[in-house]
Amino acid sequence: MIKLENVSKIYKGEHMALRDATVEIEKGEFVFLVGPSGSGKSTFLRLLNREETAEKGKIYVAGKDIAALPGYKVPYLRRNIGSVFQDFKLLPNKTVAENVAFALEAIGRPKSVIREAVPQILELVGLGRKEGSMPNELSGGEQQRVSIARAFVNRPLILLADEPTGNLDPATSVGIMKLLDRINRTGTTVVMATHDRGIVDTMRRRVIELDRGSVVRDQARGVYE
Amino acid sequence: MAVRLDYVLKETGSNLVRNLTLTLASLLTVAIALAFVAVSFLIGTGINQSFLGLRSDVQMFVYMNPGATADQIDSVSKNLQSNPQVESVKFLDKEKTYAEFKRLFADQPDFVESINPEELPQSFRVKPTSTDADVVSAVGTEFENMTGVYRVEYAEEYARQVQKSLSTLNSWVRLFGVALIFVSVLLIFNTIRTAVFARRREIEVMRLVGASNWFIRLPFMTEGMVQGLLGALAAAGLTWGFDALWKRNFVNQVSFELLNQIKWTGGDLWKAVIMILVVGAVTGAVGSGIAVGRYLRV
Repeated sequence: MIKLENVSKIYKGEHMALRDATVEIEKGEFVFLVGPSGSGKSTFLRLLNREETAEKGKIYVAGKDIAALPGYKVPYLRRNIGSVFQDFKLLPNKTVAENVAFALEAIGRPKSVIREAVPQILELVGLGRKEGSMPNELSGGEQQRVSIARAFVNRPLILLADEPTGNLDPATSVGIMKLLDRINRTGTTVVMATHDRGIVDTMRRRVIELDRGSVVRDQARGVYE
Repeated sequence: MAVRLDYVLKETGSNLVRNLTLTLASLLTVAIALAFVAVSFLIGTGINQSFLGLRSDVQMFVYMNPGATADQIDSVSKNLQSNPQVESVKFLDKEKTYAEFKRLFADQPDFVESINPEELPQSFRVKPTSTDADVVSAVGTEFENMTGVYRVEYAEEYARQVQKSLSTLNSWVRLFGVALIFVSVLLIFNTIRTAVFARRREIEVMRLVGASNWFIRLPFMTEGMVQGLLGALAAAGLTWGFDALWKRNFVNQVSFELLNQIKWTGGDLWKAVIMILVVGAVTGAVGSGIAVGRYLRV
């Protein structure tokens, strides 16, 4: 599903954010990216949906060399990749349902599809009764659920999560992880960058550790350290 | 994938309302700038037309000797009429000359009394085909030496001077108009850029979920177009007001020597209005397309 071959990413000609990384992730895997701040976890994720491009090496997503994609096809790549962030990135002037519907509107889905899919996904993430609320009326955990609903409503093949529990307390984080696990069980590949030792050690999934841009450990059913 | 029209309309409408103060601010600036563009166009057209009127008056007078014979007059007349450089000729015989003389000096009856109509020179009023001063004087020289001709006078020198000052004025007005079009383009561009900046989060989210660039761009472009059009409509109103004011205060008013010559038709007014509507709509749409482009770089 995802394949990196000797990928290096250099910022401003000097700082090497990713150094000769070679990683292969199969369809349906759940992968934790761990490592200290600045070790290249976010860069790793940003390379996968082509928010960044690599200076060296090849990146394949769903069998395609994404560096070779012309600019106008990049949106179609992103329709297969859901993204979740630490800061949720919800639109503050739209309701919960509108925020989720926005993801479908933006890719031109017909209204009938949107009317059906939005309540369904909100039910799945446990926000069935909050569809009319504004983001600032929700707790952090609820906001993250909305953002996951938005990322997943289009049923992407891959879900990228960049420290999704970074702003949440441990109890709330457990709920979010259960949700991501459930999404993973539908066959969606999940790649999650995290600092959260407790989560990694509890879940016991594949762990890829980065240090100053290099992959220093790749362990199935691994722990944080 | 086709972009849904109702989506674009909904986004355009809600964004215009949401950024109401910004929309109003840009609308006003655009309206004022475009009104200036239209007004400078009208004045430019008016100057051109007054200039055309003046040029058609450029004439040459061929005065005959008071004692010129009918044959001599006939010969000059035939030569004038067959000259390819001459468009029209009008002969003023003794009676007509005297009538004109009396009209010109109506306020000096004593002077009129003292003149014997027989002593007045008969003359030809000649309108050359070309207004070019060199051509006119070439024609004049040709007739100066014919028998019976007293002398040739030109309206040329005066015309040349007026022509010069009016075309200078005209090019300044045009330059001003072009500068103002440029300014209004920048204003629209800048307002949309502010609007785009205010909504960069939305754009970011749209990009993340895989919206195509055109899908993101289109609502901004229609928004820019609507703003440009609304601004241009307000400008059209201002232009109409200017038109009415000008007509009431200057056109054909004796007290304004040069200004009263500057006039334009209703057709010119429409031309100006359509021009600013098109400029408003196009710059609004294109400007916002460019302004949003910054945020679409992959």
